[in-house]
Amino acid sequence: MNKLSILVVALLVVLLPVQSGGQAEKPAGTATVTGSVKFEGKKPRIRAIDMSGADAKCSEAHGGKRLKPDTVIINKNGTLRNAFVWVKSGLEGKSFPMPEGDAMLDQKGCTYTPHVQGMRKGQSLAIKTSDPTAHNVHGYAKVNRSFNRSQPAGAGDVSIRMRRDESSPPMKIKCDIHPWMNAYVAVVDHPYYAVTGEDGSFTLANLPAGTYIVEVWHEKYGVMEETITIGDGEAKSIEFTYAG
Amino acid sequence: MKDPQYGWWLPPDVSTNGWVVDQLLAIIHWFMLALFVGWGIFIIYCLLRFRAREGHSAVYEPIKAAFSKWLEVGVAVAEGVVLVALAMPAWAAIKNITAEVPENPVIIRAVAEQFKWLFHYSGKDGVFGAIGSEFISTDSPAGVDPDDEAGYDDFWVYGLHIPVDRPVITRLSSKDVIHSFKIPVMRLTQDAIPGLEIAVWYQATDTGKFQVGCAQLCGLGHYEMKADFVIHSPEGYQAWLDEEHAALGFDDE
Repeated sequence: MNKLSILVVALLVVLLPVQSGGQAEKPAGTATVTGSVKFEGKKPRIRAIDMSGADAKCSEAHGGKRLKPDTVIINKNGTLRNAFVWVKSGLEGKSFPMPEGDAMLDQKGCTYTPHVQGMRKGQSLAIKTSDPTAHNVHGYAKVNRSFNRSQPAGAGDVSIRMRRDESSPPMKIKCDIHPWMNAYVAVVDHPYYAVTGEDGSFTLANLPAGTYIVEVWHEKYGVMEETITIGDGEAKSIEFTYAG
Repeated sequence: MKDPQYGWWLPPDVSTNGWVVDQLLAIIHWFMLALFVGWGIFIIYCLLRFRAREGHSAVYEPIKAAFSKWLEVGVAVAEGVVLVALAMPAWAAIKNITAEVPENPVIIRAVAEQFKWLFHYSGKDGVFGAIGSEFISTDSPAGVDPDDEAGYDDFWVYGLHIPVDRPVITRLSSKDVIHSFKIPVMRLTQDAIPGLEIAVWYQATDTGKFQVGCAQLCGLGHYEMKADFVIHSPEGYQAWLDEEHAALGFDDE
């Protein structure tokens, strides 16, 4: 065999399993873990941010109004928003299909949207700017490679590939020009993660049967975990409660 | 209200101490001009007087005459005296400016970080909450202890607001590297150094909206390290304080 055919065979060997994995789009399991992240106790005093003194273009984006930061948002039903829930262990050695496209982080009105998100290991994070002012996106990664990029108004996306797990705690991303801007990105090796929204609930669907440690993380209140054993087709619920 | 006019000349001076700095700048610049013109004339004279011409060749060895030796020493001594004579009033002026703080000052903390100024006000009670680097977080960027009741009504903003005709003490500190607190219209420049709290005072003589900058290259975003500097009338300042207090929204609790 000449070198070229060896290369072709080698490529086929490498690519074929990926191909077949891509074709079989059936979920990895049928178990579902749902739940909610509750908040009890005293609400913290969170001050609204007046951006006008620092950058008029930022405050204009909000009609000159102050903006409550996304740090601690307690929903009407007493649940906590922006908590990151994920399967911390129990899925080792398994591989799952990758989502298409990049994870997105938008800089709009001098805040990051979304404030907390999860993404897959090996995926890229596309950081976009929609603001008429300069930003400087600074990723304080502890496991992945940290980054620090200037992004003037109208600049293209900054794309960062996340090569390693980094979810406990998620990496912090900050703007060096507007110190109130921060976001958290968790890089996970599987698709079983969620961020609590307006109702404080989460769903980890299509889990294979097994015993898992489910962890919840919040930027101010830290982590909690719960062990759960679940069989095929089962649905179980976990309730996490943070105290203020 | 004065409009900031940063043209070719110095920015407007709206501080009680600014004239001292302006006077020093004027003295130094006029003096430099005199030296520059004087030495310029002397050099041109020498170029013409000692030029190479027929029957006159240049001399490359130093002249060993006693007169020129004493002349050189004399010039050196005179320049030394001038240097000290200029430095003394500058030093004295700085001492005067920073010496005694007038009564009834407004106290504001300024916390520098790459790349913004944050101004911390003590709020209605006039008492700052306990400060510590361990308290610095997203919701406490000025490092105020969230459990200290004195800090409940403290607030922090990204623009510096002061009343006119009242001395203001600004306590400078930095979270990361050395920054320099610069208010051109106050003729004020003072380094902010991590781990230290350095106080400066100044007093405004007119209202207006100007700018605070950073005068020490502090990193990639140094050019973005600026903040509004707003000088209010006494009533306007009180109204602004009330507005900031109301914006805390803690009275409803």
